[in-house]
Amino acid sequence: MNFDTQNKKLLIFTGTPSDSSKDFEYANFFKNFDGEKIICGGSTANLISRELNIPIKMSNNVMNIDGLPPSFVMDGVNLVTEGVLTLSKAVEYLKSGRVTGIDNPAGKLVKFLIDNDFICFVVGTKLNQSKINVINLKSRKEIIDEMVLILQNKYSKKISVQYI
Amino acid sequence: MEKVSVKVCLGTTCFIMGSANLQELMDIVPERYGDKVDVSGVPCLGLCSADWEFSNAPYVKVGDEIIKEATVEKVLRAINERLESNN
Repeated sequence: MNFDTQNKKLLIFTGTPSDSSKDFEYANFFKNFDGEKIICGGSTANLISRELNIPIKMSNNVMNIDGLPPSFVMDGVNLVTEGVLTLSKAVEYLKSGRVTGIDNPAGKLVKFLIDNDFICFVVGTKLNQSKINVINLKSRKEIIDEMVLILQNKYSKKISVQYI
Repeated sequence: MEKVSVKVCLGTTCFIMGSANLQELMDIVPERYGDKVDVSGVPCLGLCSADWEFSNAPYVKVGDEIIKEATVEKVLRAINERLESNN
């Protein structure tokens, strides 16, 4: 049995690299990843769109879905969502065990997490000072760390995390 | 006549600061302006990080004009001004 082909792989790319000279390198990694791909974050989506020349479109005309920003559509990307609000909501769903039939971007994200065996997180560490000043949210890193623990302990997923 | 493009930032800061409440624009704009104006949400306009000390989110772009602390009224006013100047 070939372990690699038997196991479904998912890449979650969230946040932009602290060193923007590496944007192209990470976009290429994203492009070449062999598995399903999700972008969580507007700046992240813009990076991939710019570096790989993939336009971003709204998936429908709704601006607010259950208190979350809407998802977007990009060719070759399975799901494009906003960042920390959606990730936080996904953590809530994972904690509660409510992981199916949720028709909002966090619910869709959770479905991908549950359906895959190996999840690779690439987490950008460039700070947006506005988010820290204006809104009192957990940091991306805190949310991802929490998500990883739950996925490993409650859902037995194999995880890798790379901070860039 | 060049179509006026309206982009509503739906990034985290703007969404929390009020762009979620600009849904009305998706209905009013096509009804009022037809093909002359195109309105869409975008995942991030990248403006809050430039303006981080005193954030003026939510941001909307009407053509190349940036509307700060955007409301439906402000955006419609900007659209009208742009259409008038295009005529």
